[in-house]
Amino acid sequence: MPEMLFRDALTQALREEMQRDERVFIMGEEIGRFEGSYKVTRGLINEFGKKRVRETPIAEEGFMGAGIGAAMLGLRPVVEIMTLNFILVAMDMVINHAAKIRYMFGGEVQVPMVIRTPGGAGGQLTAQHSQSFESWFANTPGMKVLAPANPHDAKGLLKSAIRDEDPVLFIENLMIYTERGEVPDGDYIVPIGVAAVPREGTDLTIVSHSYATVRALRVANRLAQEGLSAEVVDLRSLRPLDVETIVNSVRKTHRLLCVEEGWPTYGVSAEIAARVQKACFAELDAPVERVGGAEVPMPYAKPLETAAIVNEEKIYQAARAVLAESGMLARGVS
Amino acid sequence: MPEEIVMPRLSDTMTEGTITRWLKKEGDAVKNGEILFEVETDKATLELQSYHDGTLVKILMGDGSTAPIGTPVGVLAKAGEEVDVSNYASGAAPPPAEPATTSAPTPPAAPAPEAGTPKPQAREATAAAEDVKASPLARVMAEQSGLDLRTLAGKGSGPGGRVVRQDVESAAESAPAPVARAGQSAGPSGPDHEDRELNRVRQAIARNLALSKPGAPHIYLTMEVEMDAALALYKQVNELVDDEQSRLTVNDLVMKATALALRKYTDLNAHFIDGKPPKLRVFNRINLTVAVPGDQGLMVPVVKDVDKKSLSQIAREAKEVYGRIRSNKPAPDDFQGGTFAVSNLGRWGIDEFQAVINPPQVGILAIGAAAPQAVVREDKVEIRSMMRVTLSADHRAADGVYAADFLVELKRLLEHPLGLVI
Repeated sequence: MPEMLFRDALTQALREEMQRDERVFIMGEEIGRFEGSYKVTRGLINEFGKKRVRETPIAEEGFMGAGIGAAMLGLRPVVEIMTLNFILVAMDMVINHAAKIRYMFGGEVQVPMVIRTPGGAGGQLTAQHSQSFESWFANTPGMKVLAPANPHDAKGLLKSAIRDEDPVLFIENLMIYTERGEVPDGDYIVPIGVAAVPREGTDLTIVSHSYATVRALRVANRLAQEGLSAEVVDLRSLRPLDVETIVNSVRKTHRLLCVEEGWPTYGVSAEIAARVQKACFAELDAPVERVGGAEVPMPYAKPLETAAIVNEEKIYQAARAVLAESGMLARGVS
Repeated sequence: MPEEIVMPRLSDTMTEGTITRWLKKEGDAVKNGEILFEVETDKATLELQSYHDGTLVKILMGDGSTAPIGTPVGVLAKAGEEVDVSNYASGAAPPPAEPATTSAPTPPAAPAPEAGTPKPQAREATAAAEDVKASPLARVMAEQSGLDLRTLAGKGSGPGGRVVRQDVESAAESAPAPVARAGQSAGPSGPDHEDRELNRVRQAIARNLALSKPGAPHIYLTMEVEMDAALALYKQVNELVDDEQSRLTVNDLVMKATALALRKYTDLNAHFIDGKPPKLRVFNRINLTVAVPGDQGLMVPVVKDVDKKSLSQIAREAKEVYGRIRSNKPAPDDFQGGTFAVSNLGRWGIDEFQAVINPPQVGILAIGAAAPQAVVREDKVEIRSMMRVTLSADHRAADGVYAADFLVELKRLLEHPLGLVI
């Protein structure tokens, strides 16, 4: 199976879907001649022309609205927002229109649109450009929210998103574009609403999504060297949420750590903690632990930024804290 | 609620700990992350840090006291909390002795503190099972196994003495009569290991050596092995094997020979348990830890029961485990159960080197390259493939002569390699 970068897997999905269905087109800032800020749309303008690779002005609310209109009238737009941070000026379009139209038109009109955009932090882009508020969208009925963690799932999930009849927010990550992984040639899809278990284990379940999963897997390796066996559940899909896979894992390990890159208060990890305690309270041998970004605007200074991000050391320490709650480890032993 | 600080469980083998020194006094403010006290366990002296902000209102077990895990040793009040310290008795009674098990032949070296003031009446009287601090899972397991959770109240290994799964499991395990347990362990597979107390001489050796080499005091012994016969065998076998996975490497031969030599020199197939008194845990299974280069550094997966497996089986399993390491997908038990270690730098052309023991193991064998050399045989200079192996042994577990005998046996096995096949 060929290996490729996360970003190239996305390009492949876009190209194959545009070849497969002529209603699919892409729209966004600098996605044509400049090939996108993160080069996901590389080569597409030459192959499909300006009509299907539409360059827009810096006017997110306007072109988000145009995408919704195109979707309502039968096209299948893939709108690129340069980073998740810039979607804020188009929130009314996303939440009040894209997510509501199907309901308000009595199901007669649908909005089969994909919004692709990277969240995340780590490049010293500071407070306004380093955010991970995907949970705001996952909080909204009418939206689907996807956040893959490897190139295989990126390609398969983007295809599912494009073929879906509802508006889908497709979360990428600034750090994840250069992750490498095996991607099958040709057409395949990864279903929406199904989590994956990229690593099996027996002592602890770590639930995460997007780049936090990449980090969680590294931490699981480190724990394995100490004889501690962590299972990693990669959500892939935040809404709909695959509670069953998480619960099955917790039934096996009896301990749960939720990791997310965003702020944990009212976050993805809060949702999972609530669902798990309801679904399998009697299986828990320790309180559910959460770790997320520090609850501050992201600092610019590199040491402060590093301290604010969900880094691997924090995940590792949180994992050990959960195990300690079950008496498996000393707490805070140096 | 004030937080009871309990004697933590700091290792799998720890049953009790000794507080060597409190770093906080009664009345001191404590911040999350600050060190509360140092505790000496069967393995090492470790620090216990606080996971809460607050005030250390009471020290129940002072410097030098020894207590079983789970025993309250101090009380931490959170900010603004009023605590009636008279509810907590100094030198709190240790939990009643657990039912005797066959595996505990030695009394604890340091006498446990005398039973002091009993716990406050109020707590005892209202202690319904629902009032016992326990994890939801522990509660369900206790109910299913008919265990009265109140017998474990406050003695769990979770924070504040919370009862967790492993407490219920070990309570259930120690419940049956000792006879039944003895019968179990004498089953067909035999017990997994035998704990042997060090005799007086060995204890003195261990104490003394620690003065010049703290930790595991290494001794190193190097021996040359003539590998021509082993290499010829390896070539013959590989000509017969058409399955890539079963092809032998020189290392597979060395592993098998090492495992067979360990069968005779069992004291090297052991863990050193640095407690009071120190013990040597001699294993019946021979599971070899193998040093493998990984993405982020040295990895030490384990190939199990090497002495009982055929060469091709060892070759296959070693390849599988290396494959999992290389693809970053180790199996949960790939790193568990190692009893002795082998590290091979022969492929890199290293002639000989000294490896560092992986505690609590007591030995590691460092394998150099097998290379043609001029040697003297019956007064003639001949060319032979010579390989140097260096054993690092924990001197507390084994003396030089014992380690040398092991190497002689290893050399014999490798120089007469048919014994590795049959």
